[in-house]
Amino acid sequence: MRKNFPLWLALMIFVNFAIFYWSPPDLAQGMGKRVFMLYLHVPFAWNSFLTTVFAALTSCLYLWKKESEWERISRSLIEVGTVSAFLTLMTGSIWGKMTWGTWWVWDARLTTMLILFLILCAYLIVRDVYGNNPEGQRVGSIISIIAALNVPLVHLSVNYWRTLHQGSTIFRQEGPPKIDGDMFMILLACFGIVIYWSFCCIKSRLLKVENE
Amino acid sequence: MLSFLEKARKKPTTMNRTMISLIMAFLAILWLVFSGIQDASLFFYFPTEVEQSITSDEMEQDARIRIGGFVQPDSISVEDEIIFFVLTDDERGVVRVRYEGILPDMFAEGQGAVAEGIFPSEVDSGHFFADEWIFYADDIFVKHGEEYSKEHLDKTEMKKRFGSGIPSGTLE
Repeated sequence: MRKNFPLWLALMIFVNFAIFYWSPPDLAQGMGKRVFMLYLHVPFAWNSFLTTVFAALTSCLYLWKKESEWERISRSLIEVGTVSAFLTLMTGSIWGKMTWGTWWVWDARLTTMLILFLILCAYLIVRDVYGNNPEGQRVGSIISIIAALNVPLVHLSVNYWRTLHQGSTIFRQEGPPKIDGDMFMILLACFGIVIYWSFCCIKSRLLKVENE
Repeated sequence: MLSFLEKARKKPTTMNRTMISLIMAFLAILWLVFSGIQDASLFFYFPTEVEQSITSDEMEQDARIRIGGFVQPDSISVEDEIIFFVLTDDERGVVRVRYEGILPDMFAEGQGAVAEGIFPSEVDSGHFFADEWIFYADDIFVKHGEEYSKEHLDKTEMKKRFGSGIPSGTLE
């Protein structure tokens, strides 16, 4: 990350410029609300889904091939996913206070997302308690698969149940995305940065483990 | 097959036990989530549904419920720091809401909102619609749509969409 500092700086400047100058005004929401919702909350939420699903895939590979390299990747993915899920809940909570008028409600989307976060925490606790032995690695792998099974539940919760949380904007069941084109581009840029951040975290974690 | 069973019986390892408890925990989560489909997962009722259950005499008084819809344009009125407004939906159902307290910043006409409260069995007759069903809300949430657009529904357009849903002369 330190090595890529100029790249990071350029990305930060670009995204700040994009969010505060290029992004078209949305009259229904103020600037702060939009930043929290569209450009922080959504990328972190997608990232937590993505890392969890990939962690489950690498866990499956570990259970199949019994090569602990896969498990190591899986663990670092879950670490990033847990932080992402936490940030999703945090930014969502702040946005909820500003928009809904409450920090938290027990609707289907928020509850399933909290369950996902707790499963990811359970993974980290189990891996920490068991230590780096095959048993702990296997139990962890199973938990990561359970976490991934929860991901579609989180995503579809707004379609199956009536929630305070808004429905899907991009991955709608029918019809085109309900988002302005420019906003979507900036959202993709923010998502790209979050993905890149994930890669950096995972890479440094793997290197650290290798050096130990 | 049998040898596998025998092995499992002979060696109830921590692994097996952990697996079983994990699977049980997962099933418990699934059960918790899906058993709530009837009540808890329905975060709110639409005004149309509330109206229907009132007319069919099924609405329970003093039971805490949430009603969600759009705030009817031109329906907000304030009397002695008590806020009255009307919640409506696409099917033109109408529920009158009474609320005492601070409204969320985003609360506005035409905006989605969820009100939490009760239909009290004893209504103080001092108010001007004592004979009607009024929802006594003690919590208001603003519901945000999934649309992110530059445009904004203006007031005339909102009236076109929801304006005729309300019986005339009920709110001034």
